[in-house]
Amino acid sequence: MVLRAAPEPRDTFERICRASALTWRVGAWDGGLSMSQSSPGAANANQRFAGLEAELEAERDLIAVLARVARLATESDARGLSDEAARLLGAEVAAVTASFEGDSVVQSEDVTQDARFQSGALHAALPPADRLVRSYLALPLRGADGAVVGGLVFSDARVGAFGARQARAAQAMAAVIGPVFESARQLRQSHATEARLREANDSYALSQRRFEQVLDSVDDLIFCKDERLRVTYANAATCRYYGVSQEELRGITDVPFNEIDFTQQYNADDRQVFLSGEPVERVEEPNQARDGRTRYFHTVKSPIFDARGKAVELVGVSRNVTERKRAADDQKNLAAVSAILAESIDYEQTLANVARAMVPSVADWCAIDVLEDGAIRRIAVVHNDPGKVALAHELERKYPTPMDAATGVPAVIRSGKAELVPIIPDELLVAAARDEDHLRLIRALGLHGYIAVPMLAHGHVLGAISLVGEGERTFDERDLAFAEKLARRAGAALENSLLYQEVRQLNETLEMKVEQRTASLIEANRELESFSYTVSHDLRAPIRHVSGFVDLLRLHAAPQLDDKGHHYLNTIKQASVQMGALIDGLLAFSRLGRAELSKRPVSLLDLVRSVVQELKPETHSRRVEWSIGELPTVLADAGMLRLVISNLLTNAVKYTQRRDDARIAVDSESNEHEHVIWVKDNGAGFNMDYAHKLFGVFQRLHSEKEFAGTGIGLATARRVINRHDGRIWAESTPNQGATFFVSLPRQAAAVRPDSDATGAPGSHHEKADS
Amino acid sequence: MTETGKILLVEDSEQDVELTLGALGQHNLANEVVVVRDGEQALDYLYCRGNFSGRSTGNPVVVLLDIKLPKVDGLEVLQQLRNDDALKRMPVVMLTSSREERDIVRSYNLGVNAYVVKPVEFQSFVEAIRELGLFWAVLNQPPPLAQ
Repeated sequence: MVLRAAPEPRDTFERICRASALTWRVGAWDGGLSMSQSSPGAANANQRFAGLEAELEAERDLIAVLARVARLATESDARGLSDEAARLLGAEVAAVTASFEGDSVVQSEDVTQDARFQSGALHAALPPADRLVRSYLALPLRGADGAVVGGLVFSDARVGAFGARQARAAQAMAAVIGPVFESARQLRQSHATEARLREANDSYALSQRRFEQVLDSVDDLIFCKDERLRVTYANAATCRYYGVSQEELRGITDVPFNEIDFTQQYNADDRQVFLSGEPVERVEEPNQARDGRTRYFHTVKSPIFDARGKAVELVGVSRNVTERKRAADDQKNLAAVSAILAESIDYEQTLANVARAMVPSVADWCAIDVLEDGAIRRIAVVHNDPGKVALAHELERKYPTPMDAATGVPAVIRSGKAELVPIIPDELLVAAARDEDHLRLIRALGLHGYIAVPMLAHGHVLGAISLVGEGERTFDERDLAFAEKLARRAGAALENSLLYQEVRQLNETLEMKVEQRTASLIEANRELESFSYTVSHDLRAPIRHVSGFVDLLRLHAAPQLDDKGHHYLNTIKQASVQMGALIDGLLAFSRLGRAELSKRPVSLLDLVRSVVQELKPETHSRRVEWSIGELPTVLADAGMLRLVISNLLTNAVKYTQRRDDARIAVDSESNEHEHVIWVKDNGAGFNMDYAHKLFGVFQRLHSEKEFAGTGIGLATARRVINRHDGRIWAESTPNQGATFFVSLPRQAAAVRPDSDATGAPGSHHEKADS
Repeated sequence: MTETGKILLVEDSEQDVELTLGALGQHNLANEVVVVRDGEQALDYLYCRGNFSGRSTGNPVVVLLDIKLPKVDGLEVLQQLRNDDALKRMPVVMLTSSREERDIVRSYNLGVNAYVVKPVEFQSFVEAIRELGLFWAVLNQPPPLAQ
């Protein structure tokens, strides 16, 4: 059911009904609003309508009333009424409302009989009590311009209830209500607009408060300036920082206690923002507040444009980075100090450099004292003015600080506790001064702030660093913390330096000791050489003499000697020969250790053949079967290697002398790392339990009577092989022969002999009987 | 040239002298041997000075020189001879107990004519001395006198 006008309101109708004193049921089409009012007589309806018009005009909150009624109608019984209306009116309603669109009055004597309502059947079906609508009257409500804005419906259970008089009254009523409705709607609309405006205003104010709250809650300094660089806004942080009110700041172009240089730079930046329309950023902008201390800000100033794109204001945001800058400066200073400390191990020079690095970035004065054997020694005093340094030296000379002073460097060194005096009061100077002249000198130094920290290392006080500020320079806890860090590093470096000096001294002592030891070793070696030289000459001479004179005696006294005498002479002779052999072996052995190795390729095959040839005289009365396999060419000292081969083969021959079928085999095997050569015999062999003794000097596993020998041969062989970086070892079973192995590392120059040279494959073994 | 053919034996060991003379004696060479006991005497003899200032002139056919000697050792004697124009061609044989390589090398570097290690075995020693005596005193043609 679509209605062009939207009349609201039940109590509008109520009033209208009351005013018209209609005795009929009155219904409105909006949602089937319906009510009955029984009020007798409608004679003076016109007057009442006139009163109603005034009443409606006077009703300021008509809209509110209408809205309330509409809401009531909609929320509580709208649906019910609607249903009832539908039930009462049935499909007629559509036809009736349609009639308003045509601006016409619809009147029916009896809806049940009226074809336009077409609801006879429905109506008739209702019980008589429910047949509430028989007469029907509906007419449009028009606004001032005659347009339909709503409608009025009257109904009555009686037939023919609305006559011409009622119709006129209803028309008069509609004529009054129509414009009221319209003006009421307009009023309501303007009320709505007003409400919206008020709402907008409220939300604007809220937004304003919100932003102010936000801006005042941050720690950054936020401010605005106009084109003439006057402050137009400053947040709470800004006011707090400068210690002035928003009102005091507003309109000024600079803060009076700021340094003029700083202000000029700010204004130059401001102008650039307006000129360029671009933000200007200062990473470390200095600033002074009321207390005169300089702080640093990271400031960004950005333009604020008006609707035409013109920069009319700027907004500045300044973040206090003083702590950050100090931390960075501390780091920088500490890094510089660390570099200085790492430069040299000469701690006096180093500490003097550290003191120099502190001036003037950290302090105007820096002095370093060290504790040496219980006394305090000043290593460095630094000030940019040499005159002042001289003054300080003079002061220290004339009025040396007593070791038991309650404050100052001696106290710091004594207690290991730092001292911080942010601002030295003059009374302190007066108290410290020994006399008038002293006081004058101290005052001349212009001391202001003072810090003294102990240089500690592993809990020991090594000295102290003092920092003094002049003029406006004061110190705080942070400066103290920095100074302590500085002192820790200096202390560690100082300790290192002292330790280094100690180590250096120890090293020098050690070097001296090594030199002495080396000298004595050289001496011992020389003595040893001279000993072996002596053995070579002097020990051999008497042996020769014994041997020689025995022979001479035999020539001379042979006829006079009996068999026993001859036996004695033979024994002496043999003993001297054996002694000579021992000495020769020992000498050869000792020579091996000293002689230079002269390595060159040596054909082992040739070498073995040559040695076998040499041994022929010793085997001529025996049967020895030689088997010589494929042997490599090795890189070695030929003379020494010959000694080894000769020793091994001589041994093989010697220890097979009791065999009728002596067999001696020489063969080899090579891998990529080494050559292994072995000499295998079927002789007396030895017990493996004693294998470790085989290669010792003068170590023998057989008695001299069993097998003659000096016990030098294998020791010599081992020494030679060791010097060639090889190994020598043996395996044996007593009475079943022994095998001696020699390994030599492969080297680039070592090559295997050409196998073709020794014949066809499989014929590498040659056999030689002797 | 009255003393031509003489052998100068420089040897401090009494026993070695006796053995050497014994060995030479077996081959009738002993009477040709002049024996001195140290390097100084050897040089005195060769330069005809000191105890030998009155000796008849003429150089020995060979000097048998031990290395280890009192006062002036054998190598020093050899060096002095080789540095002297008059004596540098003198045949010198080292007759010594030392097999030390450095002794052998130094001797040859100084221009020794032969280096003989005294054998322990007496018979070998006799043999060696005999050969030395025969070779140098009999077979070898001595260098002409320097002057």
